[in-house]
Amino acid sequence: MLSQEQNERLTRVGPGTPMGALLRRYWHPIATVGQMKDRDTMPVKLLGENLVLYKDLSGTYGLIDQRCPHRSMSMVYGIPEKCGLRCPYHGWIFDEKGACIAQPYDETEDTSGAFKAKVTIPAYEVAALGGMIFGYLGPKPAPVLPPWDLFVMDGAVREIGFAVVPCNWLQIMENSLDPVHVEWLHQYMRNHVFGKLGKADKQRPPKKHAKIGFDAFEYGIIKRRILEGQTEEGEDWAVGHPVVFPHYLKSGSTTTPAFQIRVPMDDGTTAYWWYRCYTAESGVQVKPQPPEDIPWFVAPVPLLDQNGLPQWDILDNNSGQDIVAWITQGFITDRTKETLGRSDKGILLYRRQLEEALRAVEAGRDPMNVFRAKVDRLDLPVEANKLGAIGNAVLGDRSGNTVKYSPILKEYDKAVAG
Amino acid sequence: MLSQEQNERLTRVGRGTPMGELLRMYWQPIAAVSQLNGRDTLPVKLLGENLVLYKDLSGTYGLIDQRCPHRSMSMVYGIPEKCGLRCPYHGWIFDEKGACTEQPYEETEDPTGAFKAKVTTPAYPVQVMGGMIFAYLGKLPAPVLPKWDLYVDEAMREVTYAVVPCNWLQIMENSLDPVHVEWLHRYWRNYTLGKLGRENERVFPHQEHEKIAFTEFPHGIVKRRVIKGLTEDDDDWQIGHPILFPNYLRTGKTFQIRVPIDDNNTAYWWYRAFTADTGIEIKPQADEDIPFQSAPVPLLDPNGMPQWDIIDNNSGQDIVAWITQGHVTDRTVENLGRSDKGITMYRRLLEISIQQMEQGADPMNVFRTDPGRIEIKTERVFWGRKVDIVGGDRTGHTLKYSQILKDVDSGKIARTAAE
Repeated sequence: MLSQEQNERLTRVGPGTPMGALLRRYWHPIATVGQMKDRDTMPVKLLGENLVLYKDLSGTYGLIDQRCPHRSMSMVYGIPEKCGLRCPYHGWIFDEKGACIAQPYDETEDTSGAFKAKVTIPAYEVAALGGMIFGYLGPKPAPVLPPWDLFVMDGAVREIGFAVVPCNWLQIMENSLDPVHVEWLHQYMRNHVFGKLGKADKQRPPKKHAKIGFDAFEYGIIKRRILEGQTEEGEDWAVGHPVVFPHYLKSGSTTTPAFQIRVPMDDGTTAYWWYRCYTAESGVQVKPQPPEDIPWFVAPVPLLDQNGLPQWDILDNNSGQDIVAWITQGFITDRTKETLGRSDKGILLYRRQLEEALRAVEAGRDPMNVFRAKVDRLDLPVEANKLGAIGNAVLGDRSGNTVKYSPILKEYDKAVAG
Repeated sequence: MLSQEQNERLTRVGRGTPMGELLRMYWQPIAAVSQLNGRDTLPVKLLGENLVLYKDLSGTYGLIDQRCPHRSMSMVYGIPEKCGLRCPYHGWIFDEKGACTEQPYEETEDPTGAFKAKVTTPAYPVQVMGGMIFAYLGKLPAPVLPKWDLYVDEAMREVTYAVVPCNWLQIMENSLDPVHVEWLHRYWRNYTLGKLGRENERVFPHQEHEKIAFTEFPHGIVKRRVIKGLTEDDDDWQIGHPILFPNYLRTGKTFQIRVPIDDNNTAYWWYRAFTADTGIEIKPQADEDIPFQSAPVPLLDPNGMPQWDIIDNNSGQDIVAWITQGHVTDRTVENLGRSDKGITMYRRLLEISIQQMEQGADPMNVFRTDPGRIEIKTERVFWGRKVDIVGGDRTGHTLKYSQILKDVDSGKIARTAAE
């Protein structure tokens, strides 16, 4: 249980808040390269700030304030120029550094163009890696964009899923420090859902947790479990899988590993990214895939229907089940009312890591996973055998997070059928 | 006109407010039994509290907090077990008394199960009568659930429901205001029928109210009227029809019940019992088979136009009046006149009841011993016409949407000679 003040400290992400300051020390995914292929601008809400991502005619990305500093029209309607984005209202242009480089009518009256130098727009750094576009909203200089393994590994085809989840980011992260919910929400509740859908044949007995464990490591926390019938030799305990500080989960298995990234849009809304790699061992053919060709999809968010009934048809997969848990905990769940038990010790460890990182930032130090020196690749563990079975999102069942909606697997199924 | 403080006192219904505590002394309808056909849980918002109604595998109803006390997932997604409802997140079970009866992983680490005893969830008593499910959110012991006649008489029943986006009190006040019938349900109805090109349906002439009166009786207030052309010997004056304190209106064979969801929303129930004297065949009807239907709520369409097609009936017209008075209508700016004396009487009764409650006494219609069936009288002849809900016109409240009348029209339910 937290006090109201502690809960605010850990959840609020706007400019000037402690957690907002911490999260501004990290690069955040804001779009995929493929998403920007057929559009000029994309509205981006990140850490409570309304921004616009654009690509100008020279191919340079910019991430600037949505509000034009002249008379506040939205730059989402902006027109890309050779260099920068032009406001459609009076033709002012801003470049990716936030400089105002054209003010047509002002320059007509005052050919010196002196007014331009006095006008800037908030602008943030952008970088692309592994088909994702990242933004950095923190103090300069920006740290290195970390090359986590899945963004840079060879021998994989990738896909990217997206959803806007209407709740605070922290309850989503806490779910990742909670192995026991898998047995209930993703197995017992899943069986209940299959019953509702008339698919009783898909029900299978839940696997009981005999023990759970959590270890802080260099990049975050490794979580481990022993299911009934397993031992500490099993990969679920010996290897486990990590929460990468501050807001990544690495999930899946060695053949189809995935990042699940929870990027706060504002205090009550989270951009959810599934970044999935299919290796050759998964059974999917690995072909060259330029970043702009990485497919992306939007996963549906289950709410109650107009009769107050659950949308069972999209609750048959892990992500659907998780999302209803998170949303129904409330926009920002009230942690003054929680009742934590033994299943929740990972949550306590994670909150402690957050608190240490908040203090590091307050003391002027770099928190965990802020890298100043260039690295080629950062490797993270994940199980090959998960929950006592070979993890295979291709040949196995498709209830794991959003593989139900996977464009790669739809192609695969078509190829197999053909 | 009320002061802002008086208005708050009479309208706010959350826990700890004067009116919230008064309304918590009464059993309130929360669902029709048949609404739970084919579903395990139903989200229920009542008096500002977010709850979930469920039926477990033993058939026991429970009404508990929507929030699981562990990590706050909604129990609307709960899984019914032999006894109680299981949270889908980590498998904790709560029974209908609010006790935590299972915590699977906690019991794995600590087989004594001692943590369970420390955890409870808010839970409220539930009872079924006449195919409706009632809940009691007040201090225990709960009073007796009163057997108002239509709930227990032999009849064919149906339940109609709407969520009206305004405070409950302005809906109740409308029931203490006979004069609006002449205007909203006659004059404006004719105007609406004109918009719909249905001038031929303008059946009611404009009949003026010559006199109105209100009488307190043991269960509420009876309202009476004399319409032009009629006298004090007619049923409209002699018998009239009542509001039952605090939140029922009785019209014909229907209870209209206004249950506050929260300060700004009201669950509206039309509970209708077609008794043998209404002229239809009475067949056995299990609670699960009582028709349940939702009535549409008229709002402005996307172009700002009234939805004329659903304001051709009394309920549609009433709902437009109530909603447009504002979420909680501002009674500091009202101008009450002679048509509104029933409203003043009703407000006084509310105030007296709050004071009784605050002094520890039971207000009107809180029964500690079972009074048995309570008969409520209404007019046999209304505005000079014999009350005939089967053969008459169908503009009275939600008769337009009545499944029973559809079944009568299609011959599924036979007509009999009305008494």
